[in-house]
Amino acid sequence: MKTRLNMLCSFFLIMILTVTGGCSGKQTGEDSSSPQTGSKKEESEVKITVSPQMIGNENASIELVWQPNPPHSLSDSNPKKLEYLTAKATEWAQAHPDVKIKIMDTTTAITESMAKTLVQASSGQAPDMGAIDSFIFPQFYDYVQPIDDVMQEKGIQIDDFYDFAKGVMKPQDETLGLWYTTDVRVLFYRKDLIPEAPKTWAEVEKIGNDLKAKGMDAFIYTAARDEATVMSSVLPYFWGQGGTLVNDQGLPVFGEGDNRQYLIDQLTFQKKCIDDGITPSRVVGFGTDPDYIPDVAAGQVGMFVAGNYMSGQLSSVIGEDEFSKMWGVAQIPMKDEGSRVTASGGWVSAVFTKDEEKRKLCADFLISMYVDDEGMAGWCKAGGYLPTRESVYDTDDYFNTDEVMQACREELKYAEVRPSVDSYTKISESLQIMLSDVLTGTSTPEEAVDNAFENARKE
Amino acid sequence: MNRKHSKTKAAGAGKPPLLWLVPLAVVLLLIFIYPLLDVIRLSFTNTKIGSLDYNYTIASYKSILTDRNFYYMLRTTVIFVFFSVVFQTLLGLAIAVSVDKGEKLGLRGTVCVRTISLISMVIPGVVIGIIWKMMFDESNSGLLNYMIQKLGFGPVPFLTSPNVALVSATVANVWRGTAQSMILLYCGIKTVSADILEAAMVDGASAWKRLIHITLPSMRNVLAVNIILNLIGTFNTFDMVMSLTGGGPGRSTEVLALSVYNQIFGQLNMGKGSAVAVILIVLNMIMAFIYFRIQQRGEVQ
Repeated sequence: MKTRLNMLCSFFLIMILTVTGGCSGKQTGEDSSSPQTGSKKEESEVKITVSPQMIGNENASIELVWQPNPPHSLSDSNPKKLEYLTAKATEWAQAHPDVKIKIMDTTTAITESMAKTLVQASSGQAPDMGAIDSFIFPQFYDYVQPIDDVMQEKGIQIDDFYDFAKGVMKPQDETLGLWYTTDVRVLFYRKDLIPEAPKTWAEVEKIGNDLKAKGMDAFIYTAARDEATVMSSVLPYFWGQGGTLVNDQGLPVFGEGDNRQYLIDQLTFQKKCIDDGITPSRVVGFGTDPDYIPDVAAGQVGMFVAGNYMSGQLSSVIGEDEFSKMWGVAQIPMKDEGSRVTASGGWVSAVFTKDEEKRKLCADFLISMYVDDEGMAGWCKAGGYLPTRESVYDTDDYFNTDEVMQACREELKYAEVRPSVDSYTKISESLQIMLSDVLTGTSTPEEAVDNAFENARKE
Repeated sequence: MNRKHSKTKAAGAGKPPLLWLVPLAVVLLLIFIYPLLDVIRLSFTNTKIGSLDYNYTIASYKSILTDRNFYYMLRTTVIFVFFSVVFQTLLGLAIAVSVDKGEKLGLRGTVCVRTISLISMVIPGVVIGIIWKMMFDESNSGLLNYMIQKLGFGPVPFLTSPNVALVSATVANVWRGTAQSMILLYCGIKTVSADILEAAMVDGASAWKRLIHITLPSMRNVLAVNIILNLIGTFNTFDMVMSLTGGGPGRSTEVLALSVYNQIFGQLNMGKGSAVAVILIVLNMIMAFIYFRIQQRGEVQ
């Protein structure tokens, strides 16, 4: 009886292992370039795998390790991105049968992920290639390898990139990274309710009061403790007035001289909007742009400042037709008419390996996936990002004709990026707290600016 | 069998226990003592993540102890910890007493109540933060505000008013920690002598008097251990606050443990972050010391 029971258990165990084994094969999303059974000829063909864990031929002699930004990798859930990345990775792997790329998973918490990568890089443990948030990329200059030769081979000109990207990619004589995707902060406004987008703070208040009378939240933005708050709700207004965050030595100067007054003026405007009911006080709870998608989708919001990628996200919620019927994109309103500045971010890919053969292969892979004509257009279209190469807007039909993309292209001409200095992380935190303190009434604009400046200057 | 067992016991009885403790000592050294000592060492440096150059200095401690934001954060932490522990203990006790009474009365569903109460123990802190964030949402989709507005009152700024946000974070943490209190205090109640309680009942003592004069004094040690463990757990809470408020609005919910995270992963300032961590360790060690003293006293009694 006992023996029969053991046999039965063994049988079920084998069945379970067989079934789960089969399933795990499916879960990796293998993309085989050849049938797995059949003639000798078929057996000699290369089996290409494209999964969130690996790209390429499992038996390849060269192994590369890649640490991508998770939303830009095969582990993302967006079907458009996955379709693009799978096709492109398969194409590259088939052209390089002697290479396999192991994909290192990392957290989606950007600052934590970047801190870990920086520790890896400084201790010589970095992956062969990886993606770095653009604002922290200068801290990796000592650990990344130049890629000018591969760029030249692939016909990529550094001058084709926007100025803000060029300066970070090529700090001196050598190109150290590929700024492969960017975004820009813009004003989204209900064009069915607002005939002309406001260009100044005074116009925001005027339109805002009209929308408030209709029971709407007229003007919202991110104001919680998050980097998005600085990008959307502090820097564009500050830069638009001529403000400067740091001096030539990289030390904070945003709280002295004219800079102090610029910040006080913008905080006064933002607080007035709260007090007048144009902006709801709950904006201090919005950390990232998607936080207010439910409010926007419910038709409760008249205007909001966010990254251009919100057009894609909002379209997927309310439908593309509805989005293009209701929402327009314009410049962020400034203190005075005539000034026009916005903030840009994005991601840079870089090669860490010093092995010459691997360095070239890594650069080739990154350029093919995200940077060459087909790569940048395909990737940015799939993900709703903006290309960093100007020519892509001319050569690709989508970027050449889409209304939102054209508006964003225009804004990119006025884009500034965060200063590449060690003190920036402290400055950013101080500015986040400054805005929050004013909007909640904890501090006056003057007190908040002085506190932020004092905090940012501390070691 | 018994003879064999006693033989083995006799063979090992005279030997020093050092050999048996070596594996444990090695594990402790590698995964606890070494990182702890390294954090203390780093706290006396000005090291930054990504930079291999650093100097030994006490600048981090000086900077922290002369920073008024640190004392504001300490105040926030003390308020958060105090009210969390008080309500975790009170609610835990209330549930434990109710379950015990239910069992004595033979009511159905006591196991179910106990199990439901324990759910919060198995949910990760980050998820608890997200759940409560949805509950506290100030837009029309926020559950609590929806109900409050149905009752005819205005929306409550649960997470966007500095003072209310601290209360909200404390409420979420009370929900999270009550289960641990309940299970410890339930065990404590089970150790109270039924004879004494019965004698008190015969003497005419009310339920309240039996609780205050017999049950609670009898489980004094368990109660103290529970409070100390809650204190240590709440002092180290960071994941839930991180996902619930991120420390905001402003600095209103920034507790010490969250500050360690912000310093190291936000500012990349390993030296200063380690210094805040050491201060947190000292506070925890004080709690642990009290815990051991209580435990020793309990053993003696």
